[in-house]
This record gives sequence, structure tokens and C-alpha cells, in this order.
Amino acid sequence: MKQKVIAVILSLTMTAGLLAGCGSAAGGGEETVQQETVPESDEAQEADKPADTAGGENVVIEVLSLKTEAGPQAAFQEMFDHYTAQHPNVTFEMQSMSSDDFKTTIRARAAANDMPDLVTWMKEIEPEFLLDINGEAFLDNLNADTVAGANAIYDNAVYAMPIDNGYIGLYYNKDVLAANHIEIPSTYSELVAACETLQANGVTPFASSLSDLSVPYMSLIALFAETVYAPDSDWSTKRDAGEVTIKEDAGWKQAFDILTDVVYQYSNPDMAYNQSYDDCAALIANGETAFYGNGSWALSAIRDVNPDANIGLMAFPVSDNVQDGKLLCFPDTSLSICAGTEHTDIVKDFLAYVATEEAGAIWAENVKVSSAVNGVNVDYDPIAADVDHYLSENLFTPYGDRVLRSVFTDKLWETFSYYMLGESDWDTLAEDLDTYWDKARDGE
Amino acid sequence: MKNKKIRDHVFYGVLLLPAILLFLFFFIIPVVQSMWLSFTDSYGMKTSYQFVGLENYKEAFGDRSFTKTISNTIQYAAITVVLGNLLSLVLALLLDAKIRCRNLFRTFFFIPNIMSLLVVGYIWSFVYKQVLPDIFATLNLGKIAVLGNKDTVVWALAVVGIWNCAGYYMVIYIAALQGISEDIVEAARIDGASMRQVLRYVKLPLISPTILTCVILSVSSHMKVFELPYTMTSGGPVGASSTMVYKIYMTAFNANRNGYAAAQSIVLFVMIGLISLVLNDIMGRREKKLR
Repeated sequence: MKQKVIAVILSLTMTAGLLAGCGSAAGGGEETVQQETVPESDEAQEADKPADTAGGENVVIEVLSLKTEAGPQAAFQEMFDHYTAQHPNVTFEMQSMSSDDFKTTIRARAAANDMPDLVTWMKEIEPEFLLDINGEAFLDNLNADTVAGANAIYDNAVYAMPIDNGYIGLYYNKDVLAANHIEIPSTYSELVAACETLQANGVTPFASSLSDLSVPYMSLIALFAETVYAPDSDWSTKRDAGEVTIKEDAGWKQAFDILTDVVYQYSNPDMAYNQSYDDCAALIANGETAFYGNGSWALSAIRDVNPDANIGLMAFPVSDNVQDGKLLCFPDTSLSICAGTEHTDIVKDFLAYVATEEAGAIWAENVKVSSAVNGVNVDYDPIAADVDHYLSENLFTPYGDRVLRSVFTDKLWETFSYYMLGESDWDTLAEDLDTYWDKARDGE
Repeated sequence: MKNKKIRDHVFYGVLLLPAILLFLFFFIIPVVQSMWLSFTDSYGMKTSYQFVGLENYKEAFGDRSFTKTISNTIQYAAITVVLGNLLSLVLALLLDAKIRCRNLFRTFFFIPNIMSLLVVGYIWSFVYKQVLPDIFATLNLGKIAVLGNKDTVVWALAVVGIWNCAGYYMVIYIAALQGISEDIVEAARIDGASMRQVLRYVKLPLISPTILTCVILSVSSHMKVFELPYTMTSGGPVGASSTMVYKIYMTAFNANRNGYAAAQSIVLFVMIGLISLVLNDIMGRREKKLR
């Protein structure tokens, strides 16, 4: 009898656990709470407010972000605070996570029909889960090219509202070059000669990591943007139509060869396996290497190590024609409204605020990037002058991996180091990439 | 009498129901769903997909990057299962003896197992990337990058895998050794058996079912290794440490190819099942022979 009682108790416990696990969060997770009193406001303010805040409900806007760095988080918080000050019944709940976690989380939430209200855009989020904001007045406050670039993969729809412009290029340490009596290289031959001189003087020319392959991968993105997409912005369309292939394209091979012959060969291959992304930032910041290929996000990592590092930025010299050096500048952080949000008006109103000069300045100052908002010119870093030079001289290309399909970029990510490390020849690598380009295209 | 038997069956059946439901909802249904998904071209967050038959399986066996992960995983599992179980058994035999501070040692060896493999991965990354090169530099032994060498990287991960779980299997082996009656050991000793003979002809045969269990558990656990390549090598260099589960994760969440990832995971599922069946058969026969 005693055994039976124990068995029943254990069974009931398991049932309770099962039911608790299957419980929906809907009850406890209600985002909108009715408020008894309407916050005081004058009539004019009331008229300006979006429909669902004017009613006086306390509204929590859930934001999912893939910006984990301190700068963007501080910028978001400051913008939330400013918006909440104007709309006391609106608060924000933001979750920041790495891009891998973001992808997993967003897919799980989409499957559970529990999408947040606002997300940082990612090309992996299918348009059916996002709200088309084409025609919204606040988009006029943004640089039109940036908006078009951010939505290049969509047909006449605007799912991503860009808030800044990022870049991937070649950082160089001016002090290291000066100490070795080297002029800032502007052509490929000069870059190679500079590396040779540095090496002869016992200085490692390039900072690179092989334990974190994102470091050389960023250089590769910048390189194929310059050698493939800068000369022919329709290259992807032609490849989709079968008019060109990666295997036969000199630009693709050139990008891989420069990555191998310069970025990898002139790094410290033995130590690269023990170096992380942060180590590379420290190497250029402390003047232990002269060059470092990476994006706008690496600037804060460099400044964290040495705020006074005397660094500059240039496009990778890819030939002996200076004009071929085009900096990869592209819309970086973008915001998207989730299609299922119950607070469409509020979220749009918040985006309208993000598109103001005030919010644009907050973002640019904290994140140290150039804003996508018209009229915002924040001198966020001495490097801004270098970026502006490429933009004003029209020496930039907006097409990097952002416009490529993820089935293809996954293969590219997986195999690019094989060629760089001599484990694969060009034909094998290019055939693989062509196969996966077709697979990605056909999958769509 | 017969009615009571039926009532008992119904009673225990009802008691088992929650467990059966759990098993159904959290194992059977997901496995069936995965199997179905593996015959489709399900992609990312897209809600519609097409049936593609065996296409994903054909691709998996023709995809060098995936077949390479199979050999990497088998290599890793073979090293960790064999050396890990040997080490655990040796530790168990040592700590089963009446030595001073044996409980302290048992705790000491078990501690790595209570840590998450993700944490373990980060700790050992530091050891391999910072501590070891510094030691080599201090001793003027040149540069070392064990995680950057495709010939050493799997061994380096295996060392971490063994370090993490040796204590766990050690505890199981100690429990099995303590279950052996002192009378049997004493009888063997009176018959003139040496310590080595007692181990070879008495203890090991008696704990062989436990060895089988540990081997099967460790095969299944090590074949599914993900955290170590994820935290320590990202599958590199040149894919030398990319394991099956890591590849499945990358296919599903980087390339967004759910259907293809499901096919890869079914291949892994079948492999683990087959290895376990073969091991079960081999060890079962050996056990019978020893008895």
C-alpha cells in the first residue's frame, strides 16, 4: 500500500511538472496593462500621440536586438528614455544577444507566434514576419540611398529602417608606418612593399586571427566588394542568370588571392591561432601591427584598448590604380517592425523618433558611426574624416555579403579558409561556391 | 484474483501515463517531425516547404564538409570513449582502495563534470591559447598552437572531453566495484590469486555490465559533442574539428536549411543507434563468455 501511495505521488508530481511545462506564458506575459487614469497632457500633445497611446494604456514595447556592444545598448537606452519622457505610458523591454542566439530565438518565437514588437533587422527574418513601412513619412528624414541599400533584397518594400552606415576597410596605424619610414600605401604594390619593409624591420604587418575566422572573413567581404561588386553592381543578377560564374570570375579569385597573399601571409600565422578578435584590436591599437582589416564595429574595440591610437582607415588597395580602392560602406544597423505587433502605431511613432536628428545624434555619438539620419554630422572619431573622403569622392561600394543569400554565405564562411590555408585549390573552392550559389538561388 | 490483476495493470498503466506522455511529446513526436522535415526543403523562417524525397540525404553523403564531420566525430568519440573509460576505470580502481583522503580525491576528480561544457570550453581555450604558449615560450620550446594544427586539434578537444567526464564514469565504476562481494575477492586471494589476477579474472568480469553501460553512455554522449568545437575552434582549422552536431547547428541556424539539417541529424541518430546496438551485442557476448 505504501508503495502504491508513493507511486501515485510521484506520478502526480510528474503530471504537475508536465502541465507546468506546457503552460502558456500568455497569462503572465501580458504586455499591455489597463491603467486606471489617463496621464495628464494637453490637447495638442494628445492629438499628436499615436492611437494606442492616446487611450492611456501602459504599453510595453518588446525589442529584440543583436547589438551586444556597450555603445549600441547605451544608445538604445538613451533613445528609450527620451521617448518615454514624452510618452510616459510607453516603456521598453530590450533583450540583446549575439547574432547566433538572435537567429535561434527569433525562429523559436516565430514558430510560437510570439514575435516581439521591434527587432534589429536581419536578412534571415522572412518578410512575412515584418511590417512593410514603405511610404511612411519618417523615412524621408533618412538618406534615401541608405534606405534603398538596406532594402536591396526586397522588391519595392521597406522592411528595414537603417539607422547608421557601417563600413569594412583596412585600419592602419600611422605611428607604426611613420616609425618605419613608410608612406600610407594607396596601391597594391605599395601595400606589399610596406609589408615587406615592416617584416624586414621585425614588425608583423597584419593583425589577424585564425581562431576567430570572422576576422579574415571581414577582409574577404571588403575585398570581393571591391573586386567583384564595385566594377559590376549587377554581378549577382548576372550570376543568377548563369551569365557569369565564380570559377571564371577574375574578381573573385583576386579577392581570395589578396586575402591569402597579403592579409594571411603578412600576419603572424603561428600566433594567429591563439589570437582572438579582441587581441587583433589590441595589436593595432597598441602599434604592434600596422594593418588590420575589419568593420566599423571594430573601432570601439580598438578605442577601448587605446583611445588615442593614431589610426586611419582606407579601402583595401586591390590594384595599382588608386581609383580601384573603393571602401565598402553599407547600411548597418536597421530596425524592423514585426508584422504581428499589437502596437503598430506606437512602434511606428518610435521609429519616427529614431529618424529625428536628436536620436540620430544619440546613436552616432554612442556607437561611433555615421548616422543614416539626414542632417546628423557627428564627429564621432578622427576616422570619420577618412570615411567621409570615400563617400564624398564616390569611392565606395554598398554591396557586401549583406546582399548575398545565407545558404551561399554559409558555404563561403565554411570554406574560405581552406583556400587561404592551402587546403583547397581555386577550382575546387570555386566549384563548391558556384554549386551553393545555385542551391541558394533555387531554394528561393 | 483475475480482476485484481487487471485492476493492478490499469492502476500501474495510469501511473505510467505521464511518463509515456512526456516521452511521446518530447521524444517520439520531435523525432517523427525531424524525419518528416528531412524529406523537405524547409528553409529558415519560411512557413511553406516542399517534399523533396531523398534529396537531402543524397546531398549529405555527397557533401565533403559533412562527411568530414562524420570522420572527425568518430575520431573524437573513439579517443574519448576508449581513453576516457580507461582513465575512469583506473581512477575508480585507485580510489576504491583504502587510501587516505580518497573521498577528497573522488570529489576532486568529479568536479569538472559539474561544469557546463561551454564553460569548460572557454577555460580550456584559455589554457591552449594563453597558458600553454606562455609555458612553451618560457621554456624556449618555440611556438605552439594546438588548436590551430589540424593533426592535433581533435586530440586537444578529446583531452578536454575526457577531463570533463572522467570523474562521472569513475563514480559509476566505483559503485560497481563496491558492489562486488568481499567474499569473492577473499576467496580468490585464498586460492592464491595475485592482485592482478583478482582484477583480471574477478573484478573486471563482474563489472563488465557496468563497463558496457558506461561505454554506450559515453559513445552517445561524445558522438553528440557540440560545445567544444563551438567554443574552442569554430570547427577549424579547415574543418578539422567540425563535429556532426556542430555542422547540424551551422546548417540549421547559419545556412537556415532546416530540411538538410534534419537529414544530417537523422544520419547521426542512426549512427549512434547502430554503434550502440553493435556495442551491446559485442559486450553482451563477451559478458556471456566471461560468465
